[in-house]
Amino acid sequence: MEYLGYITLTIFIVTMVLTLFKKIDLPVQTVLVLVSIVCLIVGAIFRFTTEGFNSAILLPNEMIGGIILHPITALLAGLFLAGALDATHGFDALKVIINKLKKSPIGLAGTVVILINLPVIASLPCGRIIAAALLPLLFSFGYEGGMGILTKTQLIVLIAAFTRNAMGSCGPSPIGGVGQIGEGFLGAFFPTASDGILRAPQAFALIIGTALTALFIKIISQKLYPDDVALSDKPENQEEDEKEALPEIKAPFRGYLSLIIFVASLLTAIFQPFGKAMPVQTMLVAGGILIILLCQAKIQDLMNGIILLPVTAMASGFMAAGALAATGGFDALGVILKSLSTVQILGVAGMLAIFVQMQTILPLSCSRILTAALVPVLYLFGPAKYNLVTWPQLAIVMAAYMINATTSCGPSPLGGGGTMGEGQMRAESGFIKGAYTYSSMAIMAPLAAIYMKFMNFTVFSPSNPDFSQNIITIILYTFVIIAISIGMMSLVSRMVSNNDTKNWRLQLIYFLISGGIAGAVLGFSVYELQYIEIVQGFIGGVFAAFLIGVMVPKALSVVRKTA
Amino acid sequence: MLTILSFLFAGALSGVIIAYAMDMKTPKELLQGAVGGLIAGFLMAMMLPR
Repeated sequence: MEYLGYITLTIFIVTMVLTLFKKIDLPVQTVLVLVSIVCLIVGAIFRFTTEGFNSAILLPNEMIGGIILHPITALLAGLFLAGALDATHGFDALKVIINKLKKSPIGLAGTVVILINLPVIASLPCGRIIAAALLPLLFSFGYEGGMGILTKTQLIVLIAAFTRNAMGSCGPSPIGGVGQIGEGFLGAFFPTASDGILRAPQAFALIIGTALTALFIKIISQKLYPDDVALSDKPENQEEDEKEALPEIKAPFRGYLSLIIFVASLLTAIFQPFGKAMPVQTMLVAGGILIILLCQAKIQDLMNGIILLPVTAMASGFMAAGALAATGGFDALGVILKSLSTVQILGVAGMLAIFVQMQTILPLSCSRILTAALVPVLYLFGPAKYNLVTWPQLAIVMAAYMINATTSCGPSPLGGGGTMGEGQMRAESGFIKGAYTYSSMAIMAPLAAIYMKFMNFTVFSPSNPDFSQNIITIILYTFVIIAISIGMMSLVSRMVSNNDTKNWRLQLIYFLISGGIAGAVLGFSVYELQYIEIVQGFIGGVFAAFLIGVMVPKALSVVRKTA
Repeated sequence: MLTILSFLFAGALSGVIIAYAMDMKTPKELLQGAVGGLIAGFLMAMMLPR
């Protein structure tokens, strides 16, 4: 059985890496289904020869048993409701509100900040929904889009930051969000974990991480890839009145009504005023039915809202995870990582610092694929099996892992969500990769860990005297992390030259130092002031940052020619 | 309450950084960015479990 686990784990990892490097030219979901079938066949043969026919025949049952239905049905219900909103012009109503906000005292600056953070506020189960609805609106702010109120640089930053926020918003979503996969496991210690124990750390990390992404795009990415965004600025000699007049944004009454029903359903799903007896899915479907009745939407419209990618990604991820679990693949991975933690230079802290960055190292089109496979492994590190960390320590690591995982679809070259932003800003593929991976690795993962430790435990375990909220510490650490990042960012920006290789090496060094700091912060969050663990976290973080940094393209035009 | 405060802080800070990154660097624009961030942070915090 032990050997079988190593065999199936090898099959899984090798096929995932080959898919990432486009050596296997198939959709990742197809690859996962094929991997599951191959693992099952190998497992069945292995069991038949070692344990007999009865053991082999049970294998498919064990695999299917690993599929968790709750996040899948919540995701379907969320997409169903979002489809209703889209079909009844609810997003048009949102655009009208944004347009009015622009003319209010908060001005353009305040409006774009709200707009950029709208995906996390809306909490949809997949960032692609809101990105598809609002990216064309953002594009219209530029010269080519007609309004001409933002320059090319401003528009690039706006679109990149908005897409970053969107491709991470599925994590803290209470309606089928990725984080729910981890919350289920933490429920073993925190009884109310499924109410959203991972949501606040993720949202906190995202709001800061989005801002740092904007800054990275502005002062580094645009210098590294100056000719790789095809957007244009308004010609200097163009008269103001030559600007093409855009039709006024309007929305029908049913658009406003569907938006109100949508918000009400979302709030009811989040706060559960009817208690646990009324599941999230019921509230969302009820909202969908109300929209059908009151806003004249058709069932077909609602079905159109269901984006298959995240659903199939989650289902195929669970299938592969089930196959790995049934054949001992997770046990093998657990043993490998546990033995990694015995290497003195890494220890448990260093191994965890690498583990939390795993999905940014291997970014797939939807984070749910690997999350479904890797969260059970992380769970095994806790008191449930290997006892490497306590329950609260596991929750801290889970928060860091989850935000890193959920934002990994952004920089994925396999049709990740970030490609939507790149397409909208007419950028070469890979333009956002550095900024997105940097913010996930160096900003969001450590901030989520810090937030979980110093703010979130008391919400879910109020009677435990070991937990307390310390907002001063949160503010202090956020300032320190931001100050170090911005300081190094501006230093790198000043040192950028015309030499692509030199620039790439410079960026890699920046990643290594930032990754090390992120690992050290994680080490501190988990072990407090134990210096050996903090150093081990730093070393693990450097190792992970190396694997992430080497994947950032040197020059985008080269990527285009060789693709 | 502290959760809301932490998100107001994160929102305001994020708003200022975004406004700066978008070349909106006058005190008025930075303040508007901070207010936008405060609103975003508040809305996010209100959606969280307490």
